[in-house]
Amino acid sequence: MGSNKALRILLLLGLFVAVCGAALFLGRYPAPGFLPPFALRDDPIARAVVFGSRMPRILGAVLIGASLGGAGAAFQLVFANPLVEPGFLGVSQGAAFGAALSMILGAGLGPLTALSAFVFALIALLISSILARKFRYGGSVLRLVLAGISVSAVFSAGIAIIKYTADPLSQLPDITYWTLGGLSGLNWTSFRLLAPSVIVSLLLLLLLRRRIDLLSLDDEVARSLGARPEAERAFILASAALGVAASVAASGVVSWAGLVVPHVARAIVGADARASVPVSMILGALFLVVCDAAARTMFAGELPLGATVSALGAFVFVGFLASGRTRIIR
Amino acid sequence: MNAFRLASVSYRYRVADRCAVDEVSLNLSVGMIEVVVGANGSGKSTLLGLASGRLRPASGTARIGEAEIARLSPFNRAARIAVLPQAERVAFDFSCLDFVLFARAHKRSPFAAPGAEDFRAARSALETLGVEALAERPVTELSGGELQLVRLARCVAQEASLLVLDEPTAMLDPAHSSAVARAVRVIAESGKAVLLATHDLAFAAAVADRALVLRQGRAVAEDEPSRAFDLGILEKAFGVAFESRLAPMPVNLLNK
Repeated sequence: MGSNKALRILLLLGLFVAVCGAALFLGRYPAPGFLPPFALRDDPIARAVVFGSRMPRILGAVLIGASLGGAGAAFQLVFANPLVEPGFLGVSQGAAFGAALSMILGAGLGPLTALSAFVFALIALLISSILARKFRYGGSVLRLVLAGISVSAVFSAGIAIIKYTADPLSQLPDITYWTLGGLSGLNWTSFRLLAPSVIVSLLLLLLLRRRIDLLSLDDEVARSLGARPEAERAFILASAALGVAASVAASGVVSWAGLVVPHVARAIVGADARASVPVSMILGALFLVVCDAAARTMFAGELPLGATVSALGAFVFVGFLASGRTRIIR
Repeated sequence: MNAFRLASVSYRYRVADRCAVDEVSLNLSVGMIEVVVGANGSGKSTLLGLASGRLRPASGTARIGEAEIARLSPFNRAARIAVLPQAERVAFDFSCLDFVLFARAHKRSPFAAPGAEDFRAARSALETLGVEALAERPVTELSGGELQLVRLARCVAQEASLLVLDEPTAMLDPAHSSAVARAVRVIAESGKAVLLATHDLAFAAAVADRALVLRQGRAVAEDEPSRAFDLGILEKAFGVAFESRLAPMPVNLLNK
């Protein structure tokens, strides 16, 4: 990695730390805006707000953003397609179905719902990979895409049926709110549930990023360079999906971050996964902390995080496609 | 020294009514360049697939040194055989240097970063192909000819003892074809064996030490190019009459 790239990564890390620090003090207590740091010494409520409420939420946003950004970069490289996002193998819709199912069974918005979302995200991923092996159409990448689309559609139908049968007063609002995506439910308990899977997933992706590079080449080339494309791709997808499933379970469906962030990362440090995967993680974390801070600060009532991320993400994405900085081949 | 050997190898695709490659044998020594020519569908790509280990022979053996190619792990195969497929899609704008560095993956643990030795080998491979000036350029911005030279540099950086090249001059202009020819000779002289398929008979005659002419999976000739490219043999292989005429050729190709 050149010193120029290293400097950019350092600057980005500095910005990331500064933004996280600022977000801790930004909010609507005691008034909209920044909380003066000395208030932590004198005001027990300020301490509770900062350390009990904002800190787990910001750390959660960091993990979820890093997971979506890193998984997005890994997915795009191993599928050699910059239009792929981490939810496309059915992971997001599977998780949303799991959460909706748990809520209609009376679990409400809590750890049990998060667990159900996680389990169904992995089930969706598993079905997608099994279906991809059974399909007799297209190459390995196309088969996975088709399997992912089919599985997502089935789980979306499941969500629709659950919503249709849900109690419109007690259950439907919870389900709808959850599928919009948000971090207001994140506290230290849900953070502890989220952290292990995401951290394992991030570490695996960081360790395997040189293999991710090889898989971005044609399979025949990757094989001639010593890779086992099918097996390695499956392992990397499972590693990435582990973090994404835990993230979706904690925050609901936050789309666009995993699609857009890797494009920005590649514009900053180039395509090579050695730099683009870790930078996608940092940028994803930064992006989510900013979007969440905006979602919880701008108005007295919270905006859904999924909406702020999608709106901002779509603007960036359109900008990239219009600028011609992205090539789409497969 | 014998580098690569096919002993009466055959291969048949699942739905085919005949063998795509039928009892073909050849020996390649260190420093030798062998071309495979033949009509479309004559079995060139299948033969290259058997040499690269992508396909496993139905009968006969394909060996690199003493090792049977089909039994080698992908990692060990990458250490011995470098492959240049005919076409390749590159979806992301890696720098040429990073692109060539991918060839070094088999030299280190899956988790290790490329070291000084890898960077040296990658830069020296780019120099061998005369494209060191492209090192920092994104591969997606190269012309077809430049990309082909950078892909060949990746094969060189792999430091394998056998290079399997599928139509390395397809769609290249005369200048880039002769650059590829020069590079292939330099590669062979550095102690590698080269097996390449081509439709460009002038290029084949200019670059190769041996030529294998295939027709419907069978060898109709395996000899020095001057003898293998006999007009009668070529007519049999391609199904059209041939005639020798002098066409303009880059000087580089003529000076074997």
